[in-house]
Amino acid sequence: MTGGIDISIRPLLPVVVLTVTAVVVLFVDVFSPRERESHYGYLGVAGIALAAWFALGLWGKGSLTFTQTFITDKLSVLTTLIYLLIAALTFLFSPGYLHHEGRNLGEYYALVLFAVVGLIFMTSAQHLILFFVGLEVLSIALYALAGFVRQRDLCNEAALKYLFLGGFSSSILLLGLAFIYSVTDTLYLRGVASYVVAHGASSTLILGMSLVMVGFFFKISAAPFHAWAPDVYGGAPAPVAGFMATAAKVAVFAVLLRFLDSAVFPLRSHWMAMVTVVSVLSMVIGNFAALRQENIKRMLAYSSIAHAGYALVGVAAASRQGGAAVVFYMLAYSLMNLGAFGVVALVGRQGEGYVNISDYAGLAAKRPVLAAAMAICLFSLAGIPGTAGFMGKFYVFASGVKANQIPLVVIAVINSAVAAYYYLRVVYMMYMEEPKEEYQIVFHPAAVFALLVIVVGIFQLGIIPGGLLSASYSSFAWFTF
Amino acid sequence: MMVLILAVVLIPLLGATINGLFCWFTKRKAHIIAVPAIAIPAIVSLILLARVLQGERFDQVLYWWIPLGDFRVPIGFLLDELSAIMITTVTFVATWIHVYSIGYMDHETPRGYAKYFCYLNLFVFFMLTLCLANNFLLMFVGWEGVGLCSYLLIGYWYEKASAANAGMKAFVVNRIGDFGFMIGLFLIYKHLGTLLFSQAFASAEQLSVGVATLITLLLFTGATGKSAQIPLYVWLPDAMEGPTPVSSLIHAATMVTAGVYMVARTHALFNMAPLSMEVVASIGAATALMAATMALVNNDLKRILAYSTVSQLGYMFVGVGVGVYAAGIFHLFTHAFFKGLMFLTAGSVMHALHGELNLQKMGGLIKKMPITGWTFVVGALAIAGIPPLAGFWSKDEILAGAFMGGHRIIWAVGTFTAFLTAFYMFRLIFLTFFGEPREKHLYDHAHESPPVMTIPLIVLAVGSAVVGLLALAPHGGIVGFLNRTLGEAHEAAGHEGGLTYILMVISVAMGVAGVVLAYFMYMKRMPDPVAMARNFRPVYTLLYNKYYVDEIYFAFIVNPVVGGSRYALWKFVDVIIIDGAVNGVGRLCRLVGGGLRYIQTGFIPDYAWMILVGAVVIYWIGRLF
Repeated sequence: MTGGIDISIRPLLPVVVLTVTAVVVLFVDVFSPRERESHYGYLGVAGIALAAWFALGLWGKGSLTFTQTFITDKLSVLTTLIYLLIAALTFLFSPGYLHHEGRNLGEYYALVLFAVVGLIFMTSAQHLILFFVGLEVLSIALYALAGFVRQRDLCNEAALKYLFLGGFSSSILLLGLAFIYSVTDTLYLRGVASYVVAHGASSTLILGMSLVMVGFFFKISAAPFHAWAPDVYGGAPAPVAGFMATAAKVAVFAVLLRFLDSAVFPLRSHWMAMVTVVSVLSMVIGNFAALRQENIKRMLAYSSIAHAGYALVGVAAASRQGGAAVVFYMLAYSLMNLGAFGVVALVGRQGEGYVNISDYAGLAAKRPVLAAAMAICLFSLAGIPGTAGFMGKFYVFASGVKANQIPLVVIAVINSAVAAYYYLRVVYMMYMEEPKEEYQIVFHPAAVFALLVIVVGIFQLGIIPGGLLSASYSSFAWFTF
Repeated sequence: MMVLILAVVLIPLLGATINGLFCWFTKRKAHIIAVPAIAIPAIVSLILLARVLQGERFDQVLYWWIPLGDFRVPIGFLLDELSAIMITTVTFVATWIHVYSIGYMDHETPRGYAKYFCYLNLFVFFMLTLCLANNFLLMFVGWEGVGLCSYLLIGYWYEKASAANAGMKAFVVNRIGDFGFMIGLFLIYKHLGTLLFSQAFASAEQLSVGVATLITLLLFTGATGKSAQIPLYVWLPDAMEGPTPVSSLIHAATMVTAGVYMVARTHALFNMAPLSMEVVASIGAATALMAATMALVNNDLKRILAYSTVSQLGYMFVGVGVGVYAAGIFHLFTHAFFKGLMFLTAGSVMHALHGELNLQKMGGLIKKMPITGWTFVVGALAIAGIPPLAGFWSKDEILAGAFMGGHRIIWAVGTFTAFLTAFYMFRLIFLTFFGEPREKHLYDHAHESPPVMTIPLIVLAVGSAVVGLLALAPHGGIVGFLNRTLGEAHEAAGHEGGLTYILMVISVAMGVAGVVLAYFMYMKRMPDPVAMARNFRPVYTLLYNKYYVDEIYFAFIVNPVVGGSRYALWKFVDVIIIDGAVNGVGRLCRLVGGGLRYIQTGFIPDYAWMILVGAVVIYWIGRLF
């Protein structure tokens, strides 16, 4: 290769496939008549399947390419597969919803695919600028997606809020990178770490690290950087809210783990304190605010804040076990949230007119399958044994106990007991109340299939968690944790 | 083999899930799901039993549910002679009780009906898990699961205060036993380092006698709770508040026998602890006698059967306590048929008499409901130990084992109890089905139950009549079959020698004597039972009040606890501290919620300020540490 720059296309194959698929979708969209029913979703799923096949081929074949900025390790492959799963499920949920809203357009699918490209770059980045570019690719796609149903005011409000606050947090993150660079003269993750080992910590470096972490905390909607989440998840179209709440969080958690491990592990006493505080705040604020929500989308938004708090318990453990638990937790969390938002999209119907918890009264009487799927997702969110949510919490809390974070784990356990109330309230509504209306829900076969996949996944992870757990353990085998 | 075992366990769970999640949908048709969900496992169990008969055996960990360092939770199944007999019994009896329930529960609300079948399926799932588990922890999951279902079903008519209270009583009493059981499990893990049956039993010999005795006594404490033995039997008679098919399935045929099964399963540990064996046998014998005497004077149809169940469970513990484990399990097996049957017939009588349970108001019902009446007679003959019906074979096996093992007193108690058993059962029959009707209008409205209820009665009656004959099958019959896992009883039980025949004749004579005495007292009125009650008033009163055990428990345990709770805990700790704290927390939540509302203004600049302040705080925390 030229000039000693190590360029190998193989690690990039999934990204290439996704980009090509997105471009093809856009082209087909341009050359097809407006009023035709689109099948971009299925085209997108095909592209995702191909990308997943290439990604699977990379498992266990670690590489570090593009002047050592792009790493393909087990963590990046595993998370890539998770993003692809999330995107595929989103594609299955979306056509029916978008059709209702008259917005079943090619750019929607292209934007989701571009967002996934951004996600993959974020998690594979060994250099913080590459990470930042990936983050911006993701963010810009999400800003557009949040306001995709542009005739709805709430949607526009959500997009605008997300854009402003996202820009604000990005600039804070960038400022943090600048501080780090000013001290260490490098933005390679390992470079930062070797500087700290050689020269020790300085307050400028800690400031830089704090600001970068604020950027991360914003993206995972951890308190006190969460305020945007209820407004944005509440306003964005339900399938988009599901995608935002899951894919971006998985990626940022993976990056957070990578950053804390590779770059600033020597400063762990500092960041462990930060993570612990943010974890407690997120759990408490998320759960207590969720208790009083009447809008189910806002309730799920607050619940996702609380879940970020639970997952941070695993981060605060600063151990391989904790890292593996967080990745496991993120997949579990993604499945149950996608399922819940998917049901919300179906029950909400045109214009999302039915998104209050009281609109779910007696759903089980009229739409038993839908209610059962929702109940399973909610049980999993509440952490009932036998479901993915229980196993995720169990591993995260176990890693906390092993790391001697007993008070944090106690707070987390108390919080998950509180949380059961607002999840089970919806179950109660669906099963115990008399139905008030007819529930004229139009089923889309793809959405039903997606729900089926999710339910199977929830039980699979809850009952036979071994496979994924050992995969995520091996993802952290090379970490210094 | 693995697939078949999984099918047996999981199909009832599937049925429960469908009826649980879709109760709005299945409603009145819940049984279309629920009955096959048990019938299919019943057929599969028979296939499995046949394969075990040919010498196959299955013991495998499917996977580790929670792999956590050195403590790992196994999910695995063990199918051997013992569990094969158990699952066959459970699924067979459960199938017919499910069928019977279709008729019995037809007055329920549609959702209540679906809920009922959901719980019933769920119960079978947990019971099969309990029987098939290959480790203590999974067994404990099943153990707690059947307890949960039992609680839910006792309190099925929770609007009725007595039903809700009975459910609670069962739950609390069982907790006491389970506490012992759990400590036993902890000790096993501590001393043997494993919870797998195969490993634990293989290394059981390493245990010192003291530790083994402690562990087995703790396990037996759990068994006394679940299987209603002295001193924890008090919940079972009250449990009759549940629907009668539930009493039949859970509180007679299956769940209450879990304690016996557990002792038999852990026989390797019990063999190490002769003292524990003595305790098991003695408690069993004492319970058998005491419960039988309480049944003598009771007038409540279902409660008599409940005391009879407690008494028969006592027999089973005598069996496992004197070391003839196979005989104990054999009695469990036959008992499931005849006691399940008798409860179902009692349900049929209740169904006909609009819930009336008082024997003194019945009489002559056999003319109105011949199938119910005659099937009950079959069940009663079986429990009375009249050959060749089922109870004779198993009871005789236990008593012979006790006698041969040198437990003469226990043998005498058991034999005398056999006489009492025959007497109170036939007292019940003569008062209910024969003689003159004592309440005319009840009698006039009585009618035979529909075929969906009578067919299960007939099936179980045939079962009660013939399953005992399995004792005569080649290769030592069912006892020999069970002994392949449970080990030959050390006293070399068997039917050789004249002594066994003498013992057999004595026990049959006792049964016949009981029947004859009941006939003279309640059909011919000589001696007149009313006069007897008058002449032996102190004894009668003592028995009628069930030895005042409930009262004693209340006076010495419940009331002090409740009193202490009321004045120390409720009035002070609860009202002032806890309620204060809870209300405080509630108020705090509202406050927090309210405060959070102020934070959530919806304005972008406010949010940006929050982020900025948060960033400063985070940096400051980072600096601090």
